[in-house]
Amino acid sequence: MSRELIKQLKMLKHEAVKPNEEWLQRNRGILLSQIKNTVSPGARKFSTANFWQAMSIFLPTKLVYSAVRPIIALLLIASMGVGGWIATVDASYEALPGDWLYPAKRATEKTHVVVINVVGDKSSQTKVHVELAKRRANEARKIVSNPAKVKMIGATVNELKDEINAVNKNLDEMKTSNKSVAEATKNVAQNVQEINDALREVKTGLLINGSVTSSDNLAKVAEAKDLTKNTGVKAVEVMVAKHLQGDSSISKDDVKLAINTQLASAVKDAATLNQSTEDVNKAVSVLNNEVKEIARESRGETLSTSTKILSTMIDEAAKQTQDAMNKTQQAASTTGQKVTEAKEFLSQDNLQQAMDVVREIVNTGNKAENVANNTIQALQNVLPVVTAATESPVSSSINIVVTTTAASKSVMGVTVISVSAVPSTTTTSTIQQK
Amino acid sequence: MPSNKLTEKILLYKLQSKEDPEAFAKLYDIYARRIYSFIYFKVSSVEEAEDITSEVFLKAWHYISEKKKIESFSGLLYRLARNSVVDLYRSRNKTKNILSLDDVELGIQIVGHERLSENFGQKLEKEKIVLALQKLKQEYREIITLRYVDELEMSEISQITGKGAIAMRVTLHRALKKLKDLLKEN
Repeated sequence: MSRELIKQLKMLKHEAVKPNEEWLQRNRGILLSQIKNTVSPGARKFSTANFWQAMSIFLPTKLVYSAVRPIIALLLIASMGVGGWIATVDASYEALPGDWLYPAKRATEKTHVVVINVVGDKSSQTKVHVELAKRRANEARKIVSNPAKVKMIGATVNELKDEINAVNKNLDEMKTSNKSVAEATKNVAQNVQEINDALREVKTGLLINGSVTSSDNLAKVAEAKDLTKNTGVKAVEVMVAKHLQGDSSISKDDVKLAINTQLASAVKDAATLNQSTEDVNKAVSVLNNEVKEIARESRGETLSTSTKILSTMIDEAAKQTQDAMNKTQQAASTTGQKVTEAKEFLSQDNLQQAMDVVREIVNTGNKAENVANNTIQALQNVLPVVTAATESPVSSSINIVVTTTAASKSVMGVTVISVSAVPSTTTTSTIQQK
Repeated sequence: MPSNKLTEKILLYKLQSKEDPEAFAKLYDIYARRIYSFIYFKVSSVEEAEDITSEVFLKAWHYISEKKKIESFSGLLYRLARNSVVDLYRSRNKTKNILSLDDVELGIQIVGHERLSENFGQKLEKEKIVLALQKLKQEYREIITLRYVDELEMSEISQITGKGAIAMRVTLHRALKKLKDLLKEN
């Protein structure tokens, strides 16, 4: 009934109400002339409304306005947000500690670590930690020469140590894991050398700048350096162990190359350490001579209390430095012998014993470096106490960088200057009078 | 999508994006007769129907110029026409139904494809429907004529009347039921 009724209803037409055709055309003309007067000439600007209107030609209008438009708007907002974040992160990539974009860089890195800890395996986690440690080392290297940022060295190096500790932990787990660890261990072994080189530069930089906080920072850098070296050795040890267990992904050549890299690094470290100690020794000699010169100039007059104390302190420092120099020379000699021994084992394909020797070399190097570090620290505390009595320039093969310290003032009760002696590439030297 | 609807959307796009008078003229050609009929059906005066039709198209143009959202151009025209008729009735202060018996006799004719050959029984049947329509209340009559005589979509009717599509479907269902009851009574 309904269909029939609808059919009949559709047949009802408004036949008798057709408009007059003449009126229709006349009205059309009038309307057009009216509306043309309201149209402003000139190019129309693009409007987003036109875009939605165009879209609604092909899609239902309600769908365009209630679904498509909000979805596109959300996508645009999301893409702008992500794009902005990517741009910020990209811009912050080169940021250094103390820069305003540095927190953005660290936030991204921390997010990366969280994500990789959830979705990644030990191998990829290790690589991320190594990469972050490398970044921290490079940051420390860059800021060490910047007086405004050098105070951030301690925090940066601490973060580096955290990353290296995470690598260490992963290496321990990898040692007992059945999965292939070739890629991760090679990555650690290679990058650890780069981190070590950067830390070596940081250490030198701190000595050159001789800032108040150097002593504390030097200790942190030395600690990080030891940790890094040990981690490098551990990575090679894991490689050796895995190779000997029959892991085909780690070839004999890979292991030999890693051990040789460790040996080369140990030799380089020993040589640098030896040179540093010799330079410090020279610096102490120069300062010793300066103090004796002051004493001679007094020509029998009563020496001031500060000069007497200074003279005693420098004598002690000289002894300590001489002792450190002897020890580092001995260590360098031992390292040389051990390296020959390790290479001998390597030529015999005796990887395990070669590795044992590498461990001994690194331990020897670490001990020698600790002695040298202690000496330098002692020197920084003792040597810097020099009266401003001398005005004459000192000729030596080292730079003597002088700064006033409140601490040394209170110790001596007189105006004093602190001096840190460092290796120099130039032959000029100065003592700044305060 | 029917081709006439697609044409309407393209013309409407041209109109809204470029304020193209030619597009407006084409839309006028498509809808002028239908809107005139729709108005004349309610006002039963040639002069008033012409004036209101002209006024409806001019209002539609202003509506477009103001960049207001338009879902359907035909829906807009019918809504403007309906409102104009209501305004006219208010001005006349008439209280009678929009459609009087005379109006309907003027407005709705029983026609067929083969009018001359159509049998007498069928004609009688259609006359019965017209009479039943006349007895319906204004709301029911309007929705039935808009839906089945003017053949508008429910969304357009909803836009014209300003009521929700679901409410309009319910009204249409009730209107058809009432019409059937009236036809049975007859």
